[in-house]
Amino acid sequence: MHTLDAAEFEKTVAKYKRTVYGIAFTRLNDRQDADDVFQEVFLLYFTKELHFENEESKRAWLIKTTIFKCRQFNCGDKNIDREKEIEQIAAFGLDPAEETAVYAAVKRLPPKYREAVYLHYFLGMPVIEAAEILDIKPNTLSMRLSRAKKLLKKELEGDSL
Amino acid sequence: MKRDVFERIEKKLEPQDELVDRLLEKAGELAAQNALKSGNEGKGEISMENNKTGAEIKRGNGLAVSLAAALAVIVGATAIFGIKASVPSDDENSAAHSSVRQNSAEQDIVRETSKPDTAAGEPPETQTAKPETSAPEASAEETDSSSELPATWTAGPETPPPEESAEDDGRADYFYDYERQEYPVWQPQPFADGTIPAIAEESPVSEYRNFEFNGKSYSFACGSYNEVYNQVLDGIGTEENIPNESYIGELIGNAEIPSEFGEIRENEPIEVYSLKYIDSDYLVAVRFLDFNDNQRYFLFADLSFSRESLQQLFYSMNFEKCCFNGNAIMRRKEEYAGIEDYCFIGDDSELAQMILALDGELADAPSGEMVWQIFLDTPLFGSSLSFKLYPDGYVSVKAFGAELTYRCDQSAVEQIISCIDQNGQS
Repeated sequence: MHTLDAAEFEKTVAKYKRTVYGIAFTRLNDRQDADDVFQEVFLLYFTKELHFENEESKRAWLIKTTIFKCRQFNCGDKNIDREKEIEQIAAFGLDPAEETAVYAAVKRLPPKYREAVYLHYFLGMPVIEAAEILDIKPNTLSMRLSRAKKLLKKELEGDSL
Repeated sequence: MKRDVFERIEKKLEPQDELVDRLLEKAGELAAQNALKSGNEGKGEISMENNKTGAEIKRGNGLAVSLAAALAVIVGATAIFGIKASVPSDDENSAAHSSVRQNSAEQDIVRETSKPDTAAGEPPETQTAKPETSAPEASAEETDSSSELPATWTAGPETPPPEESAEDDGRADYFYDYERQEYPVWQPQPFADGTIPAIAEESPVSEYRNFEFNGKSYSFACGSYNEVYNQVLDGIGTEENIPNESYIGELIGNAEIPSEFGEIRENEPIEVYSLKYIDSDYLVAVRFLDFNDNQRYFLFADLSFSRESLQQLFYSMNFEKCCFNGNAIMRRKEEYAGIEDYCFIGDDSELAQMILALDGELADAPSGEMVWQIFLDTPLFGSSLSFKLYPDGYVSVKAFGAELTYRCDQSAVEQIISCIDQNGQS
């Protein structure tokens, strides 16, 4: 029987809620979907018999599970309602002039680029670590990041990354 | 734009407090339910026997107020009303399933109906989630209904190549199998006309599939296991591998093959035919007779065949004619969890022109990492050709024989890659 300390659960939620939610909302194009994934991931964590060697393993599991959940949740990657998207992004209190434009551009990337960009640029995860979580080779991730940057540049019209 | 913009954004992407509260509340519900089920209340720990995993939550000294409060509320509510949707049931749907946000009942019903994937159940008890695998667990009941379809089909030689767009053939329908923690092997979906593309089955033996002819060694040209074909390859010996006999050319000669092709007569001399438009040094059709004196044609290729330039190779195989009757299929390797990812281009005419214009000299091996692998269906022969594209300009072609690599113009290859990037749809 697995034993999970409730306080430890709250602590984990507090520590990784932004990570999990950020990935979910970036990967999915809907705040309610992100809410669902957020809850599912943490409840899986809560109810599963998980043994982590260290904090990094736990974080990696949460990130990877979130990504898988998102892929499962929104295989078809629903069409983006631009107005709704901006509205949702603005709700986070991003600076409308810069941050909103950048984040909106990121969210318009193909899902696999979005994941790569989020792990590497947003979370600051090294390429090797991010590649491991995504189960791809580091070179493949580098290529995705490179393409994502090109697409972002194009989207942002010359803004240099 | 600098990296700190990303970091600033990341810091603001927080869930709403209400969402976090609901999560903790839900955890409390699960704990309460578990306690009710296990009957361990008042013993200093909350035991949770979820429907599959059987976990328990030990009550810690520092149990958070919100969780405890939620727990008390739920226990009380449970005692009075009984736990309904929030309680993990004994069916496949688990606690996580019931975690879907607490909106109106109608919304939840709609969501659960339209998105079965969100019903993230738990794996059987035999599966324990570990950080190494890191894949979430859930019921895979909803995964890939196409797996119920037969892997192969039978069709007569008159079956025309499918005309539907590639997006319709079901290859994009991948669903992660949470129980096995892998994507299922793709199974073909029927085309709109009811026909089903076939998957080649790997033969356990290969010796009998070779024969010497005119100083060359020909081998059965079936492609690789799990390649997609438009013509049946299952039950070899009962179906032709060349759907249209009009492509059979002249009789080149006779050869001996100790046949093991099902109903084909063993040790019967075979007839070797050229194929119209295609270099017989590369590809030939072999005619067998079955026990009913019916003719059965199979495709054989010289595995040592090569040409000094890509254009010469195209010419030898009459590339344009045998390829672009169908849709091009782009498949990128090394995708999620090592699973190949398929990509489609609805209108591949531009791509076709770019590929047909490619040229380059034979090279030993490619350099760099492959960016795209293109599969071009060859309905004519019930097979497909593979083109691997490398950013340095290398192109590796695997048609029916050995894989050949050519050093092409880098910009031309980049153009193709760009075309796929822009037009391909996963």
